[in-house]
Amino acid sequence: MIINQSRLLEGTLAIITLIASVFLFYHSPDLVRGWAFTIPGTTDVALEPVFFPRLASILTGIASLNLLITIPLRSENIPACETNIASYKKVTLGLLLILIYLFCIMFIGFVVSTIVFICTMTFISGYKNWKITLMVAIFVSLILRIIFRYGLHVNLPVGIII
Amino acid sequence: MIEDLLSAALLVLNWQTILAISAGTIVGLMIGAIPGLSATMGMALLSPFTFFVHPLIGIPFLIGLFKGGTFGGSVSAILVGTPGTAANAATLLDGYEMRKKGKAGEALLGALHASLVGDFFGTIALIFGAPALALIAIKFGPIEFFALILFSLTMICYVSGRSLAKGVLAATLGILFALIGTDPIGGTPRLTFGLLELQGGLNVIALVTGLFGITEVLIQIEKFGTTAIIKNTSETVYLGTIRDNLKAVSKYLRTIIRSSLIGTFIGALPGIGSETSPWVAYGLAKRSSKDPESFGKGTLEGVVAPEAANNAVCGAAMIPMLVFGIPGDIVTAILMSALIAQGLQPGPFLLVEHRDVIYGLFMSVLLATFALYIFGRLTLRWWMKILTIPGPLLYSIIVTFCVVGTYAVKSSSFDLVVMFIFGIIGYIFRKLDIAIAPLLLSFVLAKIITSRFNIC
Repeated sequence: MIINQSRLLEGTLAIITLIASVFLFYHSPDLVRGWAFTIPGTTDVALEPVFFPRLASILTGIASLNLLITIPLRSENIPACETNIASYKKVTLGLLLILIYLFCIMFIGFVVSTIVFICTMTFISGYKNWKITLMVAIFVSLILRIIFRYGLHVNLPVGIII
Repeated sequence: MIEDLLSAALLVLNWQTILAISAGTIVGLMIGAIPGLSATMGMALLSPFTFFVHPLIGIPFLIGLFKGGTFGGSVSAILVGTPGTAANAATLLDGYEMRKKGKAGEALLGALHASLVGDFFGTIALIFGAPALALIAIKFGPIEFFALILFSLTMICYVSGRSLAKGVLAATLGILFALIGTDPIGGTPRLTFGLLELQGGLNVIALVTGLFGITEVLIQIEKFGTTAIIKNTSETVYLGTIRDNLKAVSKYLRTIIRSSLIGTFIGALPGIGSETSPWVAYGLAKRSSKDPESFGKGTLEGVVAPEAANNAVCGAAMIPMLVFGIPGDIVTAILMSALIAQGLQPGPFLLVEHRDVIYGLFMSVLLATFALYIFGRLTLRWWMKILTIPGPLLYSIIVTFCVVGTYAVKSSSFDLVVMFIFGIIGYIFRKLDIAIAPLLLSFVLAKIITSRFNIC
């Protein structure tokens, strides 16, 4: 049963990449602006900007077909089928937190966002020692800010707070 | 050459470079020792920090990290039974068995001594091999380089993991991602979907931190709930007696030297590197041993053979990267991007145009060998503490490092989005058992190959 699921997922991936490569092959002229452009005085197709995207789409198509054809030859399980729903929920929550963190950095600022992110992520993940978490979060965010600002002369996002 | 090396020694024997090597080695040892974290990931996270300092401070830091991380992986292989890096998987077979017998200290010290010898062989091969090879490479034209890079692309089969078909698909996707940006000949935007931010192409650091850093965090999030990698147990239970037993190691000197030579040779071949050489060395050590039955049951010979081989790769793997500008594996791809960020384009002319810097780097590689031994020996008892760091706290900090490292390169928030997307792609790849290395290697190689093809 699990092995069938594994093959199904692999097949889905192969079909998605195959469709994407066919789409890219036919639409690469639209995706490469100035497709008609060639070096003046040459008719060399390889110099056209569309040449490599088309070549790559052909290679991806062949690789997808190869994966699709060789699916019956494989017998081993893939990790996706051995992971339970609860784990996927945790990963989705983690991704959401990271996304919110990236968004907040630009608007609130690096230091505050980092402190809030580390505390939230650690707490949600099951580690409840608040004192250590808060101390580490403040230390990491401040030390990184100082190293980048005064050591490497790079300004991390400041936002509306710090 | 000796003159070059002596003047390079003067260049690197300053407190900044020595501090950078020491810091890199210690950080590498720590990162390598934690299961799930590898030298590759450490370099991906910390390489942007080196872009803003002198090449002879930043690159030696990364070299120290590479060497420390490669040895550090053996610590978790021996203590926890989980290899810190793929290169230490062979060490686990006998190392963990020795730990069960209460000989973890002996196994760790044996691994350290073997790593030192292996590392030294790889470094010597780099110092003397790279300049000699550069004399040949300097005669190469675009056609020869094109052929060489094409050959390197075929090496992707060695890093494809369990399925070659999946590895090839990952590689072709890597080529597609590399084509995003401006066409090098006509200056035409390619596959940018009208986004101005994509005209410069995808930032390799955003790609690497996403594929290695964020992906690993997502994988670890699944396991959250257990607070530490090992429980706070008395260290004597784990380590046993720690005493330098050179007699035991010298008994296997022949195995160590043979494994070091294997690691050096395989390491110098693009693409094969650190994951293959320990297994070859282990297999040969078993075949030529007087007591082959003891392998897999906790013999020191089974620990020293793979450890000498995987550390010998460190120096040797830099040869094709420095001489031909072809990264053999992910670590050298990251080192190459760090060199390029410093304005040093790897290739045969690098050894001519920046002779002082390159010989300085050679000397740093040698210094890192000694740093590995000194810090590896001094910090042996710390590993127990490192393995008790709560996972959730550690991986939250890693996300912060991913963000800072990616943002710092170009101060671009768009790169953070790229990092996030590639974190998800990397996670999907891991779940579908697709190796990430082919994607990244073909991404780096495709950028070079397209420009070389147009010159041909």
